[in-house]
Amino acid sequence: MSSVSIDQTVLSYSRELCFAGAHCKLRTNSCELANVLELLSIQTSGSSSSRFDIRVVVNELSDEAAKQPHFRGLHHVVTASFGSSNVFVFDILRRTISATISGVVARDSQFWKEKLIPIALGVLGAAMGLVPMHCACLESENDGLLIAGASGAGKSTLSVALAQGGFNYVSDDWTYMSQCDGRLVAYGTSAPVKLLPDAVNHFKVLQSRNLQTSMNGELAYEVDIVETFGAQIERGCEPRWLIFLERMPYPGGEFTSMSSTAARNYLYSSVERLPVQLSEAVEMRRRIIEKVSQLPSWRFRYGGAPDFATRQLREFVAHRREEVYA
Amino acid sequence: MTAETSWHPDLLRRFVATPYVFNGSVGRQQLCIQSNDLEIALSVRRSCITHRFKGGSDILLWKLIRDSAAPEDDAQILTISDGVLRTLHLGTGTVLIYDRERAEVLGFISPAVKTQELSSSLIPSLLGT
Repeated sequence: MSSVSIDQTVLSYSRELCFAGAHCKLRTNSCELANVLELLSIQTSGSSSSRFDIRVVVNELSDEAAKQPHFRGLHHVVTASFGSSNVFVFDILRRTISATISGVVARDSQFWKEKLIPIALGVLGAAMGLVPMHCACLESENDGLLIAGASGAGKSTLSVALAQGGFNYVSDDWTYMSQCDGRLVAYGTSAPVKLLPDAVNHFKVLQSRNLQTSMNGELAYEVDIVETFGAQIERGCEPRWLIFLERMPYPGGEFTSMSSTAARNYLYSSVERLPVQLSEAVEMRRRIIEKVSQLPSWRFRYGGAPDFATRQLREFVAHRREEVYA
Repeated sequence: MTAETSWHPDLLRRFVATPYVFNGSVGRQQLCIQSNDLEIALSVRRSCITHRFKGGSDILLWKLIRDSAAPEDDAQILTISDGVLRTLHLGTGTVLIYDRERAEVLGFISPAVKTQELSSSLIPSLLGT
């Protein structure tokens, strides 16, 4: 039996980090891990009250790489094992992550960027007023455009097309919603953009990339949007509009106004059910979902290439601005 | 579709029904044991009544799930202690959680773990006795 006691006095490396607007206090016994996470940390403007602690004991004697994750949760505790040497314990009530990992995982920047940080924000988010929502987010002239839709509706493909068409990229799949000084704020992470295999029909640059099996088992291209597409990144913005994306089998595009009730129902469908022990988190999340559902919302049905949808959305945003400033 | 009917699937298995519930007291201590497995519930109740779990006399709630979907991998035991929380992992399929402040023991138990092993070895290790 091996025992790990997370005694803060031996975790001699500490860092103040920031992910998706949430402040994170890291303590670890590994200088390398501290440096890896510091490079992934993204300071954002505004005073967010979201905060969590992460304490990691790195076992240099273990060389186990991160395996497929196994998650379980009861009441306020969630555990994630990436193999028997790489174990994370999330205490949602106390907003704390305790972990023991191998030296290999400590140095695996991609693991932290693509897996652990998004998972941490997803698991602890609701308890710190940061709600993960299944939607993409693009920004233009300080206005945020949230794009929701079922898996496979084309959110990521459209996000890349919009990023190539003048919008700044915030996120393509999961957007973290919070409130800052009473305003709604949408944050992205540094997670890669995930494009389904047919995206290669629209983006030739993907021909030189390999498909990978993503965490949910789907085959996809997982690429850095800046490196691959030269996109401009915006880490956070104030969302103004909520678009529900639907594909049509024939060319064309149409916008239909949606009620806040329909928007609210969709938003609840993209968040996980929380146990009664987390009633405060449920209430915090309810307030944020309510605020998002009050955004002007449209259903956008389109058929054709993503370039066409990009033009339609550019015109849509221009018209909405004209209405506001008329 | 309503908010109540549109939840995600329960990937973490947080909401597995625990039909075997024992509410009672040991001495002056109230106790609740919940499980989806009768054998586990009975074994934990027996151990509590006979004070078999040294150091576990303050525990108010036991919620233990027999996890039929747990992977069966290596049987290495790992315990992690951080503040009031202590967890025990047997491979990746079995995890036990002891929250000292909330006086709760929670856990998922792989089909490969016999009730006897749970009561006589794993839970005492979790409680640090």
